[in-house]
Amino acid sequence: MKVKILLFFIIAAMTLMFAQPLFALDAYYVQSIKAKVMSASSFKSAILGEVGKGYKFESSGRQGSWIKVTFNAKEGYVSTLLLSTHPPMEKAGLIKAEGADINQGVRRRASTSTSAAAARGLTSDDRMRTSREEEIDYKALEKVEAFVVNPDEVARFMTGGKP
Amino acid sequence: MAIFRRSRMKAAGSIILFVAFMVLGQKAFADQFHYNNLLIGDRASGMGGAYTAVSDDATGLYYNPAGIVYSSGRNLSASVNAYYYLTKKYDGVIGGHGWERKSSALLPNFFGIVQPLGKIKFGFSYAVPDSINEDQDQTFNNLSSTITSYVINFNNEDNTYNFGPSVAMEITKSLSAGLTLYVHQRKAQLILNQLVNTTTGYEWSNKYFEINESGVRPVLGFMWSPVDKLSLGLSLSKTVVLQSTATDQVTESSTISTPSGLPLINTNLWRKDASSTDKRVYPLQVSAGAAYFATNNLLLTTDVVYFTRVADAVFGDRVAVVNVALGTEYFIDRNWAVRGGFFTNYASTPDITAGVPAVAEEHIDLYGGTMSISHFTRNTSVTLGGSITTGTGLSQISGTSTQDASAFGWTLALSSTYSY
Amino acid sequence: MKRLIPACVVLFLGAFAALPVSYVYGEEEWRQRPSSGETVGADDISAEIAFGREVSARILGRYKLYDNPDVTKYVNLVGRSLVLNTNRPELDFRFAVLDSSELNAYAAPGGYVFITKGALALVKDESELAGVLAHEISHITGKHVVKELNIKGTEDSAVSGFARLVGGSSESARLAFSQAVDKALDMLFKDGYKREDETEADRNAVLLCALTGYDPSGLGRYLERIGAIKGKQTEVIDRTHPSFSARLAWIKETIAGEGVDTAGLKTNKERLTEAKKNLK
Repeated sequence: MKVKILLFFIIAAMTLMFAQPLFALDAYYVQSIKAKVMSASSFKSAILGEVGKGYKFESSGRQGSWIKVTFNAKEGYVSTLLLSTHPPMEKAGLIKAEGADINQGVRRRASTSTSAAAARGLTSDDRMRTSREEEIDYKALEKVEAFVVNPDEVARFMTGGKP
Repeated sequence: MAIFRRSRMKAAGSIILFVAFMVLGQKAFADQFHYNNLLIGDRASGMGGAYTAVSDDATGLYYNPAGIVYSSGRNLSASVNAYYYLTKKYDGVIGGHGWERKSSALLPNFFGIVQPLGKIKFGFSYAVPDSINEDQDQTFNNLSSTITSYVINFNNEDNTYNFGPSVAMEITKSLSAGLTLYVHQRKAQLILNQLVNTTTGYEWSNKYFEINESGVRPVLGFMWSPVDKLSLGLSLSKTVVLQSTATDQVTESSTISTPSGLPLINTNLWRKDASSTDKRVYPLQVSAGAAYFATNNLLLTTDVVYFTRVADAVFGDRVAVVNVALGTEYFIDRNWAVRGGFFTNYASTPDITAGVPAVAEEHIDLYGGTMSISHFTRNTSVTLGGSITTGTGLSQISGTSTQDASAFGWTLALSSTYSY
Repeated sequence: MKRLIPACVVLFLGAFAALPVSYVYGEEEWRQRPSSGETVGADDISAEIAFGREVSARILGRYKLYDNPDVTKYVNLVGRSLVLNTNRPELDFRFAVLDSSELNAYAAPGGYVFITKGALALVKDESELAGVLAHEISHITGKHVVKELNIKGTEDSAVSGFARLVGGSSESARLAFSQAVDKALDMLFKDGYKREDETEADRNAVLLCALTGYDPSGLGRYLERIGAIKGKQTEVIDRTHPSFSARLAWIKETIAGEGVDTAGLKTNKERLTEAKKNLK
């Protein structure tokens, strides 16, 4: 009886060991707007096709800066720059370092940001006053963040339009 | 030396030398007969203990400190709480009846912490590689026409503790080395109480034995990754006892026989105290492992562990032992992982043959299977795991005839890790 | 039973032999299990952005912001067209120009890229600008600062709450945060990134430019030009980066190795010249 129990363990373990390599492939998701699938791990090679953001590839390995994938039953390569092992994420929310907002943010979502913890009790003005060695310019940062560029403008720019 | 003379027990029916020999001591107690009794670590124990080529977390401090170089995250801590249960049966030891010894322990058997400092990783860990709390409580009635009863009470506690610092560093991108310097402490205590009641009188004996040993156990480890996804590990360790104190007290009383070698201190009462500072000799342990990180989700690993022969006239010779372990870990998704493994725990005692006085009272080869499941959150993990061990062999408890022996045990462990 | 063991071991080792092994030099990425390493939670991204903001605010405190809408728009257009070919769509990349004659560019986690006015003045065509921006973008997509300083979001679960009780309090989290910011500034202005990170950023800059359609040898041309200049303007970049000759060699090697056809890619010299007219 005891030997049977042990044999069960051995068989279970071995099944796990040998079954997985047959089915386990890493999954990669396209993060960029578009991604070209090349026929070899080189920019010189022919393009097999193009896929969009969120497309899932089954990969059998990595070759330099290219991920080897299966595309339309053929072997293809996609640049690692365009892929990630998780699906594309939504744009993350910004936590603005404003006095009143940050205190409320602390109570509501205190655990989601280390900066919230650091800012607990301190507004941005306080932080500016307390920093002695380095200068900090939040106003300039806000200007940088407020600068909006339309995605259509970017698209036009890429096809040769004037800025 | 008298403390450790081999004990023997005559088959029932001839009681004259019965208890006297029994009492004079057992060379081997606890589970000094095996080297792979407790699997350490939350991941490793689910994978049969095949961890020498993995060792990339706090548990690596114990198996192969070179591996902690590849641990991710800044600081790690891990703790394991485990419950162990083992029973051993020796068939037909006395008058056709068998002996049964049960052992159980509930203990935290590993804690480790890793801290990087520049290019070097430091660690500290505490491990209980062996722990037994063995009990036997049996009464045999009417064993023969003259022996009305035989009572045996036996309790044996034997715990080994390792604790100490570790350091590891990368030598090249694919080669690393590490060293753990454990302090070794072993405390064992044995109480054996026997009563033989006959139609003409009685024999009673009580033995108390205690040993405290301390020493060091360095673990030197290397890890090499010749190609992607393959990791090879090697670790060497040996316990060196620096100090050992043992005391042995034997008390006997009998109306039908006279023990030899014990001073008479009162009517029908004999007693002897002895002490010794002999140091136990431990084998050199060489562990070689290979791990294949097949995909991001699947890990396959195997270990071969070799223990050298030991020549120890005081505590008993041991033969060379080779144990193997196989393990696998599979991540269902980033929050759940399952593991399975298999290991051997061969007897370190020499083979027992009928008619030849044996070095130690048992030779049982054990085999085990393990399984565990882990749940991960960002910084923590909780693991529930278990193992089953079983095996058969021979024992030589009385005289030079042998008895069939078997063992069966299981463990259940709950552990957690935290990285910050 | 005794025969079963060797049989199991042989079978197991046989499996090792049968499975494919890739022979590419990696960075031990293959050791990472899904539960460790790469952070992919939304609160990790929030933590990265919040951290990047603090670092950016200090960059902007050290150098004044060059508040020229036309120039800023142009740099943003080049930068954002590069960003379309990266794998971090959860970040909002922002590009700004610093009012300084120093020749350098900076990247802060969360998507903040800065280039100095001096560096802008020195680039001769759009592919050179794209190369500089691509290098900085690659530091962000490669999470070099995040990994080096272990920027993570805190968990919000019962398990981690208990663990935090044991391990850390908000006071130490606050202290750790400000220490991390200081370390990031040291990396940018004093010590530089790790050598491997700089190499990876240069390599990915080449790839990013090629993917976007820019001639990646532009970055090489720009570095060559800086290399010829010695003085206060190059103090920071000299201190924080590998030697120019090493970087040039590596860039050339990457272009050749990846089969990039530089002749067929754009440099857009005219567009840059036009935009630089607004540079005052």
